[in-house]
Amino acid sequence: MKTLLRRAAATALGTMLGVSLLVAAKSAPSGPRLALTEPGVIGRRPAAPVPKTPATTAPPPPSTTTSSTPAPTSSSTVTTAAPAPPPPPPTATTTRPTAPSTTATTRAPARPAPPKAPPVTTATTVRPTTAPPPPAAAPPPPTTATATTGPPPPTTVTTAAASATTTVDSPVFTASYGREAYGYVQVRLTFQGHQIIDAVALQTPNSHAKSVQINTRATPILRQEVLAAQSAQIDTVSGATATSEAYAQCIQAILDQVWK
Amino acid sequence: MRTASPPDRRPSDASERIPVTSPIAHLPQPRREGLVAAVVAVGAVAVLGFWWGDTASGALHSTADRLTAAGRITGLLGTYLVLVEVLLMSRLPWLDRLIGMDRLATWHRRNGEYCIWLLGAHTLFTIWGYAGADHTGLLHETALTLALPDMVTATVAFFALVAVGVLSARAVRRRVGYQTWYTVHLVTYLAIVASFAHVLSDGNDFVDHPLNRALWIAMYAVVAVLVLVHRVGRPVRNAWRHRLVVDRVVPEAPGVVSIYVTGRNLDDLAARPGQFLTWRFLTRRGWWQAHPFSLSAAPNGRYLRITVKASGDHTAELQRLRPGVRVLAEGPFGAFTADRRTRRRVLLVAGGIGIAPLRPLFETLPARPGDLTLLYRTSRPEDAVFGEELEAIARERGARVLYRHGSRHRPPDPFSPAALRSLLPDLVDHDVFLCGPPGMIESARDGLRAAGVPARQIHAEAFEL
Repeated sequence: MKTLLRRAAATALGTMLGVSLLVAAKSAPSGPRLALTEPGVIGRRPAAPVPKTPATTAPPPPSTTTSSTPAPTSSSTVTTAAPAPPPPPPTATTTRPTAPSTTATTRAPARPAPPKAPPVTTATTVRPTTAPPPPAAAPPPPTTATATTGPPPPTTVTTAAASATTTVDSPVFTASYGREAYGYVQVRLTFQGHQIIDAVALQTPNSHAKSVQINTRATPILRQEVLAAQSAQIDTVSGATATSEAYAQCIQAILDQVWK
Repeated sequence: MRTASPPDRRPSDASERIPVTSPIAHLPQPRREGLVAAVVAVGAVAVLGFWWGDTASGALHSTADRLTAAGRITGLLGTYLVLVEVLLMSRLPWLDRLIGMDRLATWHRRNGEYCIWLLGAHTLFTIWGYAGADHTGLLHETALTLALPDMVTATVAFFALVAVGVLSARAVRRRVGYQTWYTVHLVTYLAIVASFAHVLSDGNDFVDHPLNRALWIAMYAVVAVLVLVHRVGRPVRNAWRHRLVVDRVVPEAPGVVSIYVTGRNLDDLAARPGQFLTWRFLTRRGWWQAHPFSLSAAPNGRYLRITVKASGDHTAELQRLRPGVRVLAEGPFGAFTADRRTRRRVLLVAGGIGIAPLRPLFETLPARPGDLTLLYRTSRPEDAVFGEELEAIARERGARVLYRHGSRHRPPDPFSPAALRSLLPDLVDHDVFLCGPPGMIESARDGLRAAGVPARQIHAEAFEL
C-alpha cells in the first residue's frame, strides 16, 4: 500500500514537473522574441490608461495603426447616420466633425435626402488614441473614409432619436499566426457617441471548415470583449489567436481613425 | 516434442551461462522491462514533439495560455498512452516473450490508471484555460467547448474510459464479476475510436498541419493493424488450423481436473513448457469467456493438457466439461520458460495449482541428476496432484520432489531463509521458478532474497492475470 502511494505520488509529481517545465520553456515573456517569431502579428497591446477627461491637446496625426501588417484591401468606410435635424449641442470641449472633404461614396439608399444633417456626431467625450503614433511603422492609411449623410436606416430610428449612431468599417487585416496566414478579418463598429455599442465581424477566415468553426465560437466572445473594454485591448480567445489579434488590429484601426 | 537435451552435454561449470536463443531474452527481467519502457518513453517524447513544434517560443502569454498548453500536453500524452495500453494487451508475441503476460497485465493496470488521470487533467486544463481566455466561468466554457466539432463523442469516450477505470479498481472489480468487467473493457475500443476525431478537428497541433495529421493517423493505423492481427486474425486462423476439441476430462484431486484437448497440427502451436494459452470452451454458458490456463504437460503433438482447480463459477463449470466440446485457444503466451534460466541448478517452487506450468518444466528443463528440485506446497496432502507423474519424472531424471503441507498462516514457514537453506545448502547457486497464488509468491520471494538468492535468479508467475 505504501509503495503504491509512493509510486502514485512520484508519478503525479513527475508529470506536473514535466508539464510545468515544458510550459515554462515556451512561455518566455513577450517582447523582442515575440516580435522575432511572429512578424506581422501584434501582441497584446500595452494597457495604456485611458484618460476619462477629454483631451484638449492636438489630435495625433492620422493613421496611428501600430500594426505593420499591410492591409490587402484597405477599404474603410465611415457611415454616419445622423438623425433629427437639431443635433444635441455638443457637451464636450472638443467635438470633431468627420471630415466631409474625403471622397464620398454614398452608401445610403437613393431616396431623396432629408434636410442635411450636419456631419457632426453628438459626442460627449473624446478620448485620445491609446497608442502613440509610431511614424515609421505606419501602414498605408485607410484610403477612403466615406461620410454619408443619408437618411437613417429604419432600424436605428428609435435610438437615433436620442443620439446619432455611427458605423465604421475597419480595414482588412490578415489573421496570421507564426508563418501561417489563415485569412482576413474585417470588423464594423457601431458607435453611439463615442461609445462602441456593437461590433460585427464582416469577415473572418473561412477557407477551412475548422476556421469557420473556430470563428463562429470566437466572434461573439471578441464582440463582448470589445464592448466591455471599449478599446482594442482585448484578450486573445483561446484557439483563435490569429483571428483575435487581427480583430484587435481592426478595432485599433477604427479607433485610430475615429479619434484622430 | 520432448526436448530434454542429454544431460552430458550440459556445461559442467556451475557459473557458466546457459546458451539462449535471443540476447535480449536473456537480460534480467528489470533490464528487459527497462528496454520496453524506454521505447515507450521515446514514443511519448515524439508525441510531445507535435506540441513543441507547433508552439512558438514565447507564445504563451497568460495563465490561460499556459493552462491550455498543459491541457494539450496531457491530452497528447494521455491519448498516446491509451494506445500503449491497448498494445500491452494485444498479445504481441515478442512483447510477451520479452516481459511476460503477467507483468504486462500489471503494466496495463498501472498505465490505465495513469491514462485516466492524464485525460482528466487534459479535460480540466483545457476547459480552465479556455475559460480564462474567454473570461467566462468553467460551466459556461464547458458548454462552449462541447459545441466544438466532435467534442460530444470525445466527452462520451472520456466517461466510458473513466467507467472502465472504476470497474477495474480492485475493490469494484471483485464485486461486478468477470462478465461486466470484460464487456465494459471492450467499450474501450469504441471510446478510442470516438475520441480519435476530436484530436484532428480541434487539436491545435493537428488542424492545418498535414504532416502531424498523417503521423497521428499512421500511429493509430499501426495499433489497429497490430490489434486486428493478434487479437482477431491469429485466433481465427488458429481456430481453423487446429480445430481444438475436448478429448477427456480426468479428475486429479478434490475439485481439480485435467482437461485433455486434441486437434490438428498441434506441433505448429510451438508452445514451450511453462507457457499458457487463453481458453474459450464453446459451451452454452461459458463460450463468451476466455481464461488463461497453463499447459500442465509438455507439448507432445498429441494433446494439450490443462489442469483446472474449481475456484470460481467458470472453473467450477469446467469440472463438468464433456468430451467433444469445441475449444478456441489463443496463444501460447508467457515468458515463464527455460529462457529465463541463468544457472545450472534449478529449484521449482509450486503453490497449490501453481504446479501446472512447473510440471512440464520439471519434465523438460535441461538438468543433470541432482541439479533439479521441486518444492510443492499445498494446504492438505490430498490437494497435491500429479503424484505418480512427478515420481516417475523424478526417478527418470534423478531429480527430487519435496512436499510441504500446511496453512500459509501457521508455522512452520517452509519459505523461511533457514528452512530454504537447510533444504538446499547451495541455494544461492540456483535459479528459482515460482508459481502459485500471489501471497505465496511474495513470501517465497522474500524468503529467497533473505537467504541470499539474487533477484535476477528468481522467476515468478502469479496465476492471476
